[in-house]
Amino acid sequence: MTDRDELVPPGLRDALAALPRERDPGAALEDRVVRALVASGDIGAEHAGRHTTVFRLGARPRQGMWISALAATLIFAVALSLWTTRRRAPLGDPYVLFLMQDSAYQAPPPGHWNERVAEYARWADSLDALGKIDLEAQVTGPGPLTGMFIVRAVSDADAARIARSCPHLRYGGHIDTHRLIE
Amino acid sequence: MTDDGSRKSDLALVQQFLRNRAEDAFRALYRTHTPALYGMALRLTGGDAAEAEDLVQECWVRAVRALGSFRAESALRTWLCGLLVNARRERVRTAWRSVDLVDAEAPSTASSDAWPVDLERAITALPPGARDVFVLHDMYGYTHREVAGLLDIATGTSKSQLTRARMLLRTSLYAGDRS
Repeated sequence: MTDRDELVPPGLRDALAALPRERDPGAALEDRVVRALVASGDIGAEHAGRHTTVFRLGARPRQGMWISALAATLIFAVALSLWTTRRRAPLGDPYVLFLMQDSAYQAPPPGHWNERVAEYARWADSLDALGKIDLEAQVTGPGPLTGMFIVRAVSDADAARIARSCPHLRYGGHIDTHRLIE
Repeated sequence: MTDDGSRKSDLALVQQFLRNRAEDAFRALYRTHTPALYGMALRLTGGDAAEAEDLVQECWVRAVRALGSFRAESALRTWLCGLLVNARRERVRTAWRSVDLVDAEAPSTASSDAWPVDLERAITALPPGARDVFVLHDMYGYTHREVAGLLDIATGTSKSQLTRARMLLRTSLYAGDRS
């Protein structure tokens, strides 16, 4: 210990040294981390299909902690309405992607929401070009739910791959993916 | 286990994981290092267990994606702790900038007889910016240069935050003795 050690009396220094550096977070966190990594395809790819009926990408949401959800919801609603003019026949099974955000979401600077929406729109367009998105998606809010997309995927792993490609994750949001039963 | 032995063991675990990225190999890595990561996360978050768990998860997600570039030039745990601190910094970047250290309240007072408990509370009660520097420097042995790099602050800021944290701790803990 350096830097004006006189501010740290020996008794305090000893007490500091004795404080535990390690804590066991419990098995639940281990399972949660493993599930997230399997769902995102980062580990155990051969097991990916076992966990994907309902899965989540990105950070865990925390109740009551969300920002800009209403504003983002309105913007997504407008953006989605524009896409509905360019529908294509969807392929594969339907999956719903719930875009969620909390305090960890990195909102764009004031005045730059249009750029953010355009980025999401390009992502949706790329799926549309492949016939992998349904454009009747409804948007709800306010709340931690930012938006919703219905995509078409040939498997759970394919749906996870589509979700991972969404720019929402890059900004600290998270995505709950559910297979729809028709 | 010696540092060298620990490093070899870590490298073996990393190589085993990278062979096929199997879940079992990841769990072995996770169990070796998570108690230390969670302990640090709890200190950095002032005891917020939910936030600490999120940090640990984010740390492992980043680690798994970057393990291929890990070259064992530093200990794996040091590397992981760096990822954790980076994740923490990014999550609260805005909050940190708004911290007003002048107006931050000093920790509650306590007697040195109860230090194991009250010292924990006093550290938790430190203003976030000062607590981060104190935890990294005085508890985990990072140098000011390393702390400055991890927290994206100037070295001088790291030093002044450390001095402030130590003064707050000393004031609160010894005030109990004087009363």
